[in-house]
Amino acid sequence: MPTDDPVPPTCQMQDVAFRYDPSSSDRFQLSDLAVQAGEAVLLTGPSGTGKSTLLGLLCGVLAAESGRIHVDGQAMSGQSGSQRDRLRAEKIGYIFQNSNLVPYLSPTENVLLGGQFSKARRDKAGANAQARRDHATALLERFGITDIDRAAATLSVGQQQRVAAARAQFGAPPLLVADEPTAALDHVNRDLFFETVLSTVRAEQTGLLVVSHDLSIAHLFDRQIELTSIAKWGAA
Amino acid sequence: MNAALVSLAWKSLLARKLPVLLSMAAVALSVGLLISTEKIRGGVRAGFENTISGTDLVVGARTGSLNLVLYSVFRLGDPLQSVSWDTVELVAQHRDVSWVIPMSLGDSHRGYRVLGTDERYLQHYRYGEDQNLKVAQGTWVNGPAETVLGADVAKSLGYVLGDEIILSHGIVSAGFADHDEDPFTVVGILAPTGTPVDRTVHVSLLGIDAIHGPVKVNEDYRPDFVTSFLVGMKSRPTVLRFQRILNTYDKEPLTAVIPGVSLSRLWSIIGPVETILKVFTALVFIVGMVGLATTLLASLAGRKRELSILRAVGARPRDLLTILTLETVITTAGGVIVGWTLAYATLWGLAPYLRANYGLVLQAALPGSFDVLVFAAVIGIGLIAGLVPGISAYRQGLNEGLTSN
Repeated sequence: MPTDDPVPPTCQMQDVAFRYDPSSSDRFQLSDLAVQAGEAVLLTGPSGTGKSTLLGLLCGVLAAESGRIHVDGQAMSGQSGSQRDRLRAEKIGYIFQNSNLVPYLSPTENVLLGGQFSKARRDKAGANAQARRDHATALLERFGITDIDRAAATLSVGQQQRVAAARAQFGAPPLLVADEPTAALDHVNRDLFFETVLSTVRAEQTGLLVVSHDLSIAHLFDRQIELTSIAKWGAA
Repeated sequence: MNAALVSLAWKSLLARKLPVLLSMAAVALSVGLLISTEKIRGGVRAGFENTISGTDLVVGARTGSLNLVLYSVFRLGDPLQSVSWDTVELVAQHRDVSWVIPMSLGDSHRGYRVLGTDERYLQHYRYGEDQNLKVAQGTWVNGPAETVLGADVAKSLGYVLGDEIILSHGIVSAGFADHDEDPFTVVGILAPTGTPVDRTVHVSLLGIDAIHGPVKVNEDYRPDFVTSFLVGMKSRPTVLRFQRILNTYDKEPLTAVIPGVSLSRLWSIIGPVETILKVFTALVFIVGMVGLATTLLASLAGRKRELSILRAVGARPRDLLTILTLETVITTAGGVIVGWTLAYATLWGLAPYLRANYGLVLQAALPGSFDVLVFAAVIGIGLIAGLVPGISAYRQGLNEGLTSN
């Protein structure tokens, strides 16, 4: 790992261990993972190698048994559940594989949800409700969504993923995490998605960690990591 | 609690209008039923207790005390043996007695009981909270062929002053026993009381004899017998002593009862029915609330995704709990308000009908502490019902992480 880096990594996981069932000896172990600011990292690996577990730990939904997890210089590991939730709200924009939108909210409201649980992100997005709404609209426009007040459920899958990306970037969190974000998209939509996300990553110096088994997108990333090379399941 | 969570809960409810409205309807029906049965029960009880007041003793020939009160006060039950007029006069002259009201029952007019009495009935009879009878139209009975109708009799049979009616012997309204030759003229109609008086046809004591055969009208007419009589004492403390005197009177076997005591005993017979009614109402209510919790739990399965999204944007498990609980509380509160409004609208709408047909006066039909209690209980139970899916969501938030499907 680079020790002479002047800027600390946007996120870092070191010697992390985790068990779903504390009485089981089946333990997830991860040696080292770091994403730098402005860096796009692709994490690949077959199913069952612990991708969801890694994402759960990084985002603070799961609590590590030991090891260090840092996001934007703040410790995720060793914190209480609600502290991890607050850190996630503030530091991480998360994109699911599909069905990213709350169906009863409009695209704009879905994007605004990105700042709902973090004052810091709200403040960064705008000084008042109107400014934040404008910020959301601008993000949606950047992703080519102009039809901002229709029901989220009526959007196409490609549009939904782009709304989700806009939400993840609302209030400019330092880290974007995406779990197979384009698995449900065709090539055109996939390219459109990454083009826009990556341009923001470069412009805002955001860290991007994408988990996928789609190697055809590897060329878009700065770095590709094979999950099995840094993590394993097994008895301690 | 923050406004954003309230707004999320509200939007989520709006997005599921049909199931939410159905849940609300279930709560509204439970609450409406609970409140209206309670109000009607209260009205029945109050009406029952207010049937007669101011009367210290009801006296008749030796019989069961319940039957005596049922027959003399409610015009129900089996006919009584007679009491001699001598006894009535003797009691009336006793130094502790303020007044007596003679009552001669046993005849009917088209299903309504005929009561033979005299002007003392108008002077001394009291019901409710010491209210006396009022002649709303016309005058009180003066002659043997005159009658004064209770309010319901006049209204339901459509009689007005000056109408001539036929009174029959016995209580069957069949035509066989009608005495066509003796029509009575309606000379007065009483103001409504909400008591059995409204369903009574009043005539003079002489009039009762006239139903059974030709009578000679003269000034010193006195009947031989009456069915029973009401007694008012000059002072309350003498009631028990005088009751004992009457019950042990050796010239004629008598039964004297204190109406209040008999009314309480009567009500205690109805008591179990009242309890059953309460239990059923409570059960309907519980079923409604269980239905609400079930609906919420069922809808939770379809909302796992939505809760995951909220988790991903930083919602704490307790925020999910808050949102789901809020949804239930809003649904329940809406149901309570709708149910409450429905119950009172129905009661107020039905009041004239209940009053006219059952003599049931819903005096207690104003909101009271019971309503506050129901409000608090329903919202409380709604809160608990909402906690069930809420806690389930909370656990999902804790254990399942950011599941992708």
